[in-house]
Amino acid sequence: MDFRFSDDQALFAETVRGILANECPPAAVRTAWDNDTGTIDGLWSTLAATGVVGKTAPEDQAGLGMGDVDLVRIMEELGWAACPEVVLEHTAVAVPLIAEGGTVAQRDRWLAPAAAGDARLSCSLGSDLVNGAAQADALVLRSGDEMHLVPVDAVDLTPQASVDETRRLATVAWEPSEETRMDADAAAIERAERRAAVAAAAQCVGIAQRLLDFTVEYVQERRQFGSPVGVNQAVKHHLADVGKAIEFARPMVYRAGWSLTAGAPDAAEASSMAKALASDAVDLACRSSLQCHGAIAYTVEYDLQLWLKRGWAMAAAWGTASHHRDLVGRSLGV
Amino acid sequence: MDLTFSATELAFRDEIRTWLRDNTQGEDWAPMDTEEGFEQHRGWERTLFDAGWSVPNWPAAYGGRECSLIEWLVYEEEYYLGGAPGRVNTNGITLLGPTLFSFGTQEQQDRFFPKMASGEEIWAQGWSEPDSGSDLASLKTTAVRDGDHFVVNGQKTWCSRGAWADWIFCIVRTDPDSERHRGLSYLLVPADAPGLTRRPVSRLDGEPAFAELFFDDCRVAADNLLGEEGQGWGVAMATASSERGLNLRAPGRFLAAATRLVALYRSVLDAGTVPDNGLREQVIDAYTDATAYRWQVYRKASELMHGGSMGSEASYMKVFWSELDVELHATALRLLGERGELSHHAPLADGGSWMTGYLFSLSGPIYAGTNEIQRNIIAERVLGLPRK
Repeated sequence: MDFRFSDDQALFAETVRGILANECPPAAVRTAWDNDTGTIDGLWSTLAATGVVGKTAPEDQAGLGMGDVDLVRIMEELGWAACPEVVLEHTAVAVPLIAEGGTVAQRDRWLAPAAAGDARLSCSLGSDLVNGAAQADALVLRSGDEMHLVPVDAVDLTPQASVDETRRLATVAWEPSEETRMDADAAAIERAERRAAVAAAAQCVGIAQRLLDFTVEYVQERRQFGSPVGVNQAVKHHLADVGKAIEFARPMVYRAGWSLTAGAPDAAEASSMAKALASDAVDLACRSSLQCHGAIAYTVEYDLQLWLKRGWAMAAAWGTASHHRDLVGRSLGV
Repeated sequence: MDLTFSATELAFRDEIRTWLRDNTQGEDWAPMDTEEGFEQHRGWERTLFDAGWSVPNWPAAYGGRECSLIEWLVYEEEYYLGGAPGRVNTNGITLLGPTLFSFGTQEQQDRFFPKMASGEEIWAQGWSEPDSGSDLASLKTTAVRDGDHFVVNGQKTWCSRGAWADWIFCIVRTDPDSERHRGLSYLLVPADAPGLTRRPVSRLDGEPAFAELFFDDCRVAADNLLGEEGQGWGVAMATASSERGLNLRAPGRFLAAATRLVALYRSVLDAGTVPDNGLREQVIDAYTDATAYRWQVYRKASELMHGGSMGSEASYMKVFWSELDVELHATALRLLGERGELSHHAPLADGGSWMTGYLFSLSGPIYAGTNEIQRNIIAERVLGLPRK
């Protein structure tokens, strides 16, 4: 039993953090709010060149063949930076599902380009909202008990505006066919749902941490009644509670990532516990950071809103806390 | 990262599980915090000690088996899941113990550890005073050097099991001109020291589990100073970190309680006596939080085993486990409906009582530094917010 990440895993996360500091500062995230694509120019290519995009693709398909436990720290960093690229949909969900449950033809057609970042994938495992669909080359979509891999030019997209304007959501009109059908069985689909939950939970933890970092800094600078507002116990306790929520969601997310990779018996339960705790943590971080900032954060000009809105989006995406608590209850037999 | 239990850890789990199964047969003892129950539980300490299970993580020379921190967590999980009796010398073994390892002289360690491990000497904590609770550094009990003794005067209170304990670890002011954190010393006081009187105080659950201690020119050998004279605050903070962190409250305790809560929910649901109205979600929450605490503790243990340290982050632990414990018991009371008010004396309570557990859980956010103090510590020392 050793809970520490390997040096390689830690180093990779540091590298991603460095890249995002350069290429995904708040000003860049704002460009993704305003432009046609919802993405930052050049960032996807950089993430592909670094190995982030292809991290989960099989090694014989130009990927790194890594598992969920290798992704969780990266997902945290993507959340911390409010990175708008569809790494979760592409790397954490679509690519492993194609590798596991794609037909030979689908694997040959999509995995190597996806690993290299030349093809961009998005997906839904049942939600009627697909993020980044218009920018994707193909979509992994669910039809009843089946998964399908559908080129984006074969679907009709209706944009659905998210509170977070970097999330270019759409509903998708499409026809399943023998040609698009994947071989993924129920177990493979469930694993994909687990991966999505853990990756989203890791992002929630990263977003919550950034909201906390922002707010800790602000309440030391902002002065009222002659003192920093952070000297007040009411403010301190708000932020201590946010820190606590993050502190106890994080190891659950790590455990879930490890359990998925190792195929441990608690993988399903742990991933739902992780998303439930992480959704609650980011939700609390959103409310408390807004409250501790006051009116300044109730504006679009102030950068906190980039993380608030990503936080609200990711708390709900890939299963709300209530949804995942229900799944935990089922696994407990209640 | 490798979260599989090793073959050694699994064998260890198997060994303690088997031993507990063979050596605990639903003891029908008085509660630990009664005079009668205290002595029954002291006997249990001896049983554990003779089998090498009292202090498994301690050196063999003091009756331990030198198990790793991870194995100790495994031991705690099995201990609570097996429903074994409460540990009457917890304050000695898990609070004073780590402090004595860090600050005690060889002579002190050789003198105190074997009898602490066997239950021959049971320890209580003498820190709080009538006017010094959260503001511990304002304490007034004095100890003045007189040859090879200290002469102690003052009063301590809320001293758990202090009425029957054999020894008390105290913080006293050895420099009468000092203020606040300076001039304090950590003194180990035998309960039969001349000039010490003890008065039992009934706790909220009605058991005489607290004591007030009155020191009236009480003479204590100077050999019993733990750490250097005047450096008591630093020694005390090491104890506090044990009290707030994973030593005192290993996750096994809460996992076992959460498992009992799930079973209670199922039985209540089957009986159809209480409408659900969100209780299911509260039960799931309690179980989820206990699991999160488990992995957080294993994560911290991994760090501690590889050179990490537990500083102010222990405050996160303390707030989390204490509030989890309260919520868990409050949920159980809601599930019990009108029977929630029953104490463990009621025949219908079937030998156990969630109300008694609830009353105990409510002490958690108070002792070891109130949770308000813990949140201040988190904000100021972990997050870095200004004190003033």
